[in-house]
Amino acid sequence: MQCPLRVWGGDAMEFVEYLPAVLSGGNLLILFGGTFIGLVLGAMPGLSPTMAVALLIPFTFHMSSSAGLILLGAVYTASVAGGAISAILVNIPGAPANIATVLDGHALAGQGRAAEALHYCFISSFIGGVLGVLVLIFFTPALADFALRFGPAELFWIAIFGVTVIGTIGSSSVLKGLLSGAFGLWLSTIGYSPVLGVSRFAVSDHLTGGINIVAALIGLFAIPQVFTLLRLSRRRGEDRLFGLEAHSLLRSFAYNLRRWVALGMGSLIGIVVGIIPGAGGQIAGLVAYDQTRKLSREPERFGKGHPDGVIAAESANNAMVGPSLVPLLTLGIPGSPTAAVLLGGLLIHGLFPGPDLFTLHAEVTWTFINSLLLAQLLMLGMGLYLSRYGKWIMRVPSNFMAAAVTVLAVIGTYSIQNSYSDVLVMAVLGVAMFIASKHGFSAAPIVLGIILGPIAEDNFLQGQMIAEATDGLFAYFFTGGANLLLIALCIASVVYSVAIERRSRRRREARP
Amino acid sequence: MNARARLGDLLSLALAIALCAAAWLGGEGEAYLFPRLISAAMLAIALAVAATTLLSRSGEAEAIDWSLISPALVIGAAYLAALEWLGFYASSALAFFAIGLLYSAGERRAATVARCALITLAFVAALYLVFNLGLRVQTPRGWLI
Repeated sequence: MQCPLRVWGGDAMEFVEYLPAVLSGGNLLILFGGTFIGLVLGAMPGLSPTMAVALLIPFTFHMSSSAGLILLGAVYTASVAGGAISAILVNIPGAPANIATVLDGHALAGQGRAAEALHYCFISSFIGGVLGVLVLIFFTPALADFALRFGPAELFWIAIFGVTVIGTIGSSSVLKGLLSGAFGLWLSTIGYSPVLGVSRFAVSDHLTGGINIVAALIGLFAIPQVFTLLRLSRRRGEDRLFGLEAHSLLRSFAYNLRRWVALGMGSLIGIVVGIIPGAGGQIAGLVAYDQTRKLSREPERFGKGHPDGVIAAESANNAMVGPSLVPLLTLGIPGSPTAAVLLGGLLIHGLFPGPDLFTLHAEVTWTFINSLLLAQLLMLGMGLYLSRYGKWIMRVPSNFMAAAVTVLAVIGTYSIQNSYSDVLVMAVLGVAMFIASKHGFSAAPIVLGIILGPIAEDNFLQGQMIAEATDGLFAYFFTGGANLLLIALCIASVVYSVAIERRSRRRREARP
Repeated sequence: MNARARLGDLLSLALAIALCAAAWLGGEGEAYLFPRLISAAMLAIALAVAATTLLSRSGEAEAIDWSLISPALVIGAAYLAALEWLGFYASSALAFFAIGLLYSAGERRAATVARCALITLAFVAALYLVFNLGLRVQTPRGWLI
């Protein structure tokens, strides 16, 4: 059925057709389960949304593509919001996205207003999240149509752009981020060449099949967290855990809506940061918090328990979730590290970013996007309910969490293709990543390099063949409006990140 | 600048040189073209990282608490070695118990050991129910399960 409302040439209202698919018994059950798992994992200090999604990807193998993506999307949405529970109650952000929430959320809890802070957190997360998913619904088809115009040269540069953009996030310096991204690209070339079928760098039998994306994801994200949890196991009990007071939910709703400046500012910044490839919840939350404080009539109250601080930070980090998938689903460039991991989930289900998602796989794609909308509602209801039991979730000892993550990482990796080699690769990459993280390297660019490597290489080789038959390599890759624009974007993203890095270093040095 | 940071940057430079050598000397043909491009870029960036650290004399690297992580590394290595001859569930139970007990915050008394054993039993039973009976996930098999 052709929908009458066409947005930017795309059938954005097509999502309405696929709404009933999310409400089918099995999908709804998975959505409930995913939201619950996401909230619990998010609330546990030390378990990030990225790791939660990475750990669950192998288990979606046994599900249909729609069900698998619904599970991953629900966990992504709920774990970002769930991280606020530990941020507010124990002063430890459950995820990097909740760093800004700690500033006023924990201060509110200290004033005996923990329940109130949790209400603000989930209500603003819900509003921001819904706005973010609406942006995803209305922008993605249009951008996917645009991506149709790209050939191998443009797709090659898009893959490189993805690595340069996310390469600048998380690492202690831009150069280290880029080095990590290049290392990931190199790792992706181990094993058989996708176009020529030649075996490369398989120095051990365990590497003959190359580096499996999911094994790498789990190793790079889960194993360093195991060591972090083991460190936490030695310091638990030092943080003060606040109890919850009785507070009217309706009053919280009304108050939240009255704080429309903080809510609007948070949601808007979350959406913008989400769409920018490579940014993420951490940046969204901190920028929204900072801007809301600057706009506030009482900036001096921020950091001492101002509800606006919680509202701005939480609406921003959840508003970021939907838009972070816009560049992912259309161009294969993730908007956040968790979206990068989600890209691995898409690929293992045979779904490649681009216009095909909205034509050949429209049912799976729209069911997934619709599930994100419903996940916001479930996150609100279940989050408000579960936050009452937040202190129990946080009392799970870190040593048992570390042990559980280790075992789940092993079974998750093994189950991908019943390969012991994958488990060994996962463990080696994980331990190496832990050591590298102490030297300022980050896992996200490496993972993105491994994921985007085959896309970059395939398109590079295809482009090379076309170039040899036409104008030559230089003319094919370095001329033309789209190529030049993408090259300029690659350079601009690196230069911009270097400038930001220098500015923050100068600020740090100027501080007494 | 601490010595650890300098060592880390030198190691990343050494890795880049090794990967570059593997790409350029590993084989001939178009299959190596992309890895060569990437490794050349990697080498250039690694040189820039090392030069930046040395010239600016800045850069800090966190210390790794080896005394904390060494037992976990030993347990992890033993776990991986035991997977294929003891079986997934049995070796997972042992690894879970060992990590849980070794990293428990309080004193290791009989009660702590018993509590740890109970949690291990419950965890592995849940794992078996979900993955073996529920999802029918294939796991490494050995003498035991």
